[in-house]
Amino acid sequence: MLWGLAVAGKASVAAIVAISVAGGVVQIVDSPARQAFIGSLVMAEGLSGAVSLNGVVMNSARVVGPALAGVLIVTIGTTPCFAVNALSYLAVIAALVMLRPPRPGARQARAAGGVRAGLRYAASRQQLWLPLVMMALVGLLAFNFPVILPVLASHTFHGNGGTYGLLSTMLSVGSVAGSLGVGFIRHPRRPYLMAAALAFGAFLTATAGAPDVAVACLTLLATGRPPSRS
Amino acid sequence: MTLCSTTLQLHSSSAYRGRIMALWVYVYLGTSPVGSIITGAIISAAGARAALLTGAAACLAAAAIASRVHTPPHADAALTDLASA
Repeated sequence: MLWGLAVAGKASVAAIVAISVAGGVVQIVDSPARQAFIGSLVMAEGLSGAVSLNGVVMNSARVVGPALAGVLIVTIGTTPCFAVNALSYLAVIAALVMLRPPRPGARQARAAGGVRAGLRYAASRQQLWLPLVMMALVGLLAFNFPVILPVLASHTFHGNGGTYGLLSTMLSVGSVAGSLGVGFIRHPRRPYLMAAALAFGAFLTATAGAPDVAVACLTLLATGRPPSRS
Repeated sequence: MTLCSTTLQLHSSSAYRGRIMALWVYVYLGTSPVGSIITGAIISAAGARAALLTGAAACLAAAAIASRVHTPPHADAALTDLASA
C-alpha cells in the first residue's frame, strides 16, 4: 500500500499515519494468533524450544533487518523497499498455506461473553495469572530501553547517536543469544522463572552502575532485549 | 520473558490458548506506553541510572511472584493436569 502511494508520489504524512494505525490494528490480531499457533503446532515437550526459537528468529531479524534496509535504501532507494516488504508477505502466506497443524485446537462455537470467560479462566489458574502479573510488572518498569538508552548514551555517557546505536545493538545481540539458551530449557519450572527474573534485575543493576560505555556494552549484552517491543 | 510465555501456553487448554495469548500480548504491549511515561518521569527526576535500578527492583518483585508459581515436574504433567481439571 505504501509502495503504491510512494510510486504515485502521494505518500503524505497523514497517509503514513493512517497506514501505521491500520498496521497496529492488524498486529493486535496477528500477535496472539501467532503465539497461540505455536501451541497447536508442537507437542508439550517441544513447546519451550519452539517459543524460544520464535524469539531467536524475531531478534535476529531485528538485528539483520535494519542493516539490510540501510543497504537497500542506499542502493535502490526507499520506494522499492516497500515493494520488497510487500513481496515478503507472499512468502509468509505460502508458508501458512503449506502448514498442517498436527494438534489443531477444536473450533469453538462463538458464544457471548467469550472474553469474560477467558479472563475467568486466566484468574482461576495461578500458573496463568502469576506469570501475567510478573510480565506486567517487568513490562511496566524494566522493559523501557527505548526511553532509557538514548538518555543513558547522551547524558550519562555524553555520547551521540552512534553510542545509542551501539548500546542498542548490544542489547539485541544479547537477546538472540538469550533466546537460543532458553530453548534448551525443556520445561519452564519455577526455579528457572525465578532465576531469569533475578538475573535480568542483576544485569540492570550492573548497567546502572557501569562507569563507561564499554562496561555498559558488556552488561547490556548480558541483559538482552525483550523481542517484538520497539 | 520467553519462559513466562511458554508457561502460559503449557497451562492453558487449546480452547482458551488464543484468549490467554491475547491477554499476554495485551499485557506485553499494553504496559509499554504507561511504562514509558513512568520511566520518563523517573529519568527526569533522578536520571537514567535510577530508572535502570527501578527496573531491577521490579525484577526482584517478579522473582518473588515466580516463587509462588506451582509448576509440575514434567511438561506432560501440565497437560494431563489440564485434562482432569
